[in-house]
Amino acid sequence: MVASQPCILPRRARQYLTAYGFLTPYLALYITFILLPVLWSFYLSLCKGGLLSGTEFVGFQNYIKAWNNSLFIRALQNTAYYTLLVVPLAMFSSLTLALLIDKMAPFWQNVVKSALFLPMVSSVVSLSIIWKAIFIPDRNGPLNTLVGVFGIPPQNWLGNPDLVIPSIVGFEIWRGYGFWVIVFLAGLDAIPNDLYEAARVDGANAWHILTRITLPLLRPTFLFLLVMGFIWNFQLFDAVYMLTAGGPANASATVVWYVYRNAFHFENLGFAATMGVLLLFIILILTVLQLKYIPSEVD
Amino acid sequence: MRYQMLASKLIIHLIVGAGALLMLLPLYWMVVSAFKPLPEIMTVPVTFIPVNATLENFKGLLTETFFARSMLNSTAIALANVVLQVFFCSLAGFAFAKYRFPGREVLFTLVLGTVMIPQYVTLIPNYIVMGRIGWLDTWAPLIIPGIANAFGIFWMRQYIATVPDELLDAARIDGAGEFGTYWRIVVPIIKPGLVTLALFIFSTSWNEFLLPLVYLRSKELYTVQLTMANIFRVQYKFNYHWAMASAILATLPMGILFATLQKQFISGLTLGGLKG
Repeated sequence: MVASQPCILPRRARQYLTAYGFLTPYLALYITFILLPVLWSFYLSLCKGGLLSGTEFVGFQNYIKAWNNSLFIRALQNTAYYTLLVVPLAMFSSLTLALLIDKMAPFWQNVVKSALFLPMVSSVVSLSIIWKAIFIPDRNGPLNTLVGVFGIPPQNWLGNPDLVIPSIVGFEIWRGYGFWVIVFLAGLDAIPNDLYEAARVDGANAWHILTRITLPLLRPTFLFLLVMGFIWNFQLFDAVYMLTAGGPANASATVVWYVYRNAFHFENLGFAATMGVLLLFIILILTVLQLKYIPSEVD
Repeated sequence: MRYQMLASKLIIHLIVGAGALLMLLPLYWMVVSAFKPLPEIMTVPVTFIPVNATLENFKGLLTETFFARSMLNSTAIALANVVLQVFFCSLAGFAFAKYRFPGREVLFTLVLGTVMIPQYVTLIPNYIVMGRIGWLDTWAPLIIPGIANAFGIFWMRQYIATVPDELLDAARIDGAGEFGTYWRIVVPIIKPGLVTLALFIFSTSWNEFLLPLVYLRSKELYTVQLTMANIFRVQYKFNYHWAMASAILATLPMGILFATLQKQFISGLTLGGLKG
């Protein structure tokens, strides 16, 4: 006992040292480039000025300014409108496809999955180039030709303030569709087969099985996609930069777009930080509310 | 009854098939457009097979723009990201999974909490820091901060937790040393997890847009996404023929990786989605 005691301590100490040794490079970078910047962002949101002019502490002025800034409010409304369109539409359409291909032979399932994945491995930039061309407002543009078949007159998809957000919504749903479908397929996979068999033995029809078994058991999947869908889509930037640059007349400006413009074009670092912090809080509050009030438990 | 079942199955396959084709149509259009001369891309009616197929777009793209250079730049940056992040994340994940030390839970929670912090929140302070240390217009901001990849650590910890402790103890008894245990025992066992993480990091880095947009000024340093956006939007005002060709070439590396490592890729992409 007496002999082993001094032996244990150094061994433990060595373990601590090794663990921290393995963690040090990571922790140093983490503190420098994530933790401190986040705190600094909060501080910057209380300052005015920019890179060249230097910053000056002004308290909550920026927050009042943001509240009274019609462009920021507009960007916030655009972002919310965009998200409220994308999330339900993507959820409904991807669930439909997942239900359809869930019972297919693995070969066909893989063919469809590959088709869905191609947009997922491409960058927003390259996909935007394709879609910018598809949206060409000319009456012979690809999309206008397509809708022309159904007798719809040619539209200025990205130039009409009422159409620009729905057009970007279409693009983003197409781009992210594969991910939504896979998550639903994984959720469907997790539902035990004997539940279906038991229901069939009891004489349930397809509609009953869908509404009483499949959909209720997918609740955790719905919640996950809802929360993630809000988090990503509230940060829409790349597609706006590529497709519309916020136009026409700020009709498609999103919050991150406006933050970017203020920080790197207008030299308003403090104000940009304020809007960034506000968006972060909005996302956080929405996430907490969703997690708290939307049931994920299966009853 | 049987015919009914068969018919409904056929209809489902047809609907899904049509949907999948519709999804692929924009990509098909990109491929054919890249081989069309500019006037044909814009002409009436939309042609689905190039009438005057040409390689001029690729030739112009590669000789008259910085595109080829950008492909090399992006490859170098992505490889640096993969090597550094995979190494440091697996090392830190190993520490979190297999060592007991004071502060372990606190640190891990802190790391996990930052997974949800959006990029644009840290971007402004980081931009100021990069300016002070003279890293603006270099690749360093695209590589160094990314090493602190919270998601990579989480993923590696989960994976390494499944490595049996007996194997590690056996290696230590054989005198492997702590780093030797990591390098010779842990790394070979977690290879599939490393490959998935590497693919995820590569595609994130390759497709990243906001960071290069903010940090890079010199065209010789541009990443492929930045050059593409530049060719398309800024420099030549919607130059569809070069842009389509560049979109193909820029997607090619990801397409090849996807075709060869489809299974790992799917888990990697799902991983990416979780990170957001």
